[in-house]
Amino acid sequence: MGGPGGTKYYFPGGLDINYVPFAAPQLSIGSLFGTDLTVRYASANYFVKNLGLEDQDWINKFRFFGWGFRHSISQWLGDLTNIDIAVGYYSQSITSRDYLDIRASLISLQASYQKSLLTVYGGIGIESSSLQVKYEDDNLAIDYDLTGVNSVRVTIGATLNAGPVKLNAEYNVSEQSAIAVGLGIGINELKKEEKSEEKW
Amino acid sequence: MVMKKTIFSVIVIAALILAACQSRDLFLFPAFTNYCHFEIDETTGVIYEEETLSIEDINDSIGDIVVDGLIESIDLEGFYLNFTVFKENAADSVTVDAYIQDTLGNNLAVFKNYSFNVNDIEEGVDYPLSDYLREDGVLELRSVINALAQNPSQYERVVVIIEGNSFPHDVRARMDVDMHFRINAKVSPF
Repeated sequence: MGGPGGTKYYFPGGLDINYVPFAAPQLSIGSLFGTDLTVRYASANYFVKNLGLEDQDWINKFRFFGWGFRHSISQWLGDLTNIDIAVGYYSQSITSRDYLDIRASLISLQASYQKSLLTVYGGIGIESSSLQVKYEDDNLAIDYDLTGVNSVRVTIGATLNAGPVKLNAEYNVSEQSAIAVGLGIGINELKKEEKSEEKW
Repeated sequence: MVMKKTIFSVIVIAALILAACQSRDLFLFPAFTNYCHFEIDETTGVIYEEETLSIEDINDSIGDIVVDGLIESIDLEGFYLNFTVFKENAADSVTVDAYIQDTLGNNLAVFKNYSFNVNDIEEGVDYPLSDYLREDGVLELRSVINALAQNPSQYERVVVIIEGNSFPHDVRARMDVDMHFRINAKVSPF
């Protein structure tokens, strides 16, 4: 960007990409008394060791952690509805030492309806987020805080239950709309499948 | 049946990964700061100091960069002044210009008409020059640094001048002025 008197200021455009694919292993446990717990975690340890980046402060403690729970309230409604309704809370963070601290949380109300292999679901949630970036070198000190606009997130999605394999896609409408695609394997469903094949 | 579902799963994962892979040109933008140091000690109200650009320091900084990649271009991001006012100073205010001398001996203005009240100056504070910069001198300095990036021995010396007036004219103006300029390089990493 051109500045005054022939100066030029660079805003490094990063990688000039419109989206960043991100994958992290996730474990969901439940349902127990209509409640399930989800934990997701990823760290840069593997890449740091294999790429010899142990001395790179900015990346060698990179960590992604998320957790959340969901509780079924339709179980308390009895026969009032055949739609599953749940409330949930989810929180996740991306951190790297003191340099980076990104946090987001979501309180949501979700509903789903299952027909044959397909589960259609939707939800509405209130989300909050914050970002802190802090680093300094010989010439420059950056201390940058950003608080996200608390916004309402509306989600619609569907899951195809192909036996133990679950293929899922959802669209989130919010300040930053997002499309998420997921592929999962249900261990409990796998056991059911094996029992089913034994019968045949 | 289970095998078919496994193959289906692998295909879906491979498709997602492939969709995420794209070729990109990646540039680094390392920055460094250099400065010219002027010692003002005048009793006539007229300020005129000549200094030479610290070419060795600039070459050292460029040398650090070329280890990581090929320099595509160099630009100047900004200028600012630092002051050290000595207790002997009796001047109330100062107005200064700065020039860089080109190879033909012409003085090209880097900034002009920068005025300040000496009593308001705080040591260690960076005073930006963005409103006072002049393109001729800024682009000449940029050209000098780009030439040094191509050939470190291109210049033996580059003269930088600060001149102006102190007020009142008949008292001693005693201060050091450092003109800092921040340099940004666009680098293709090896």
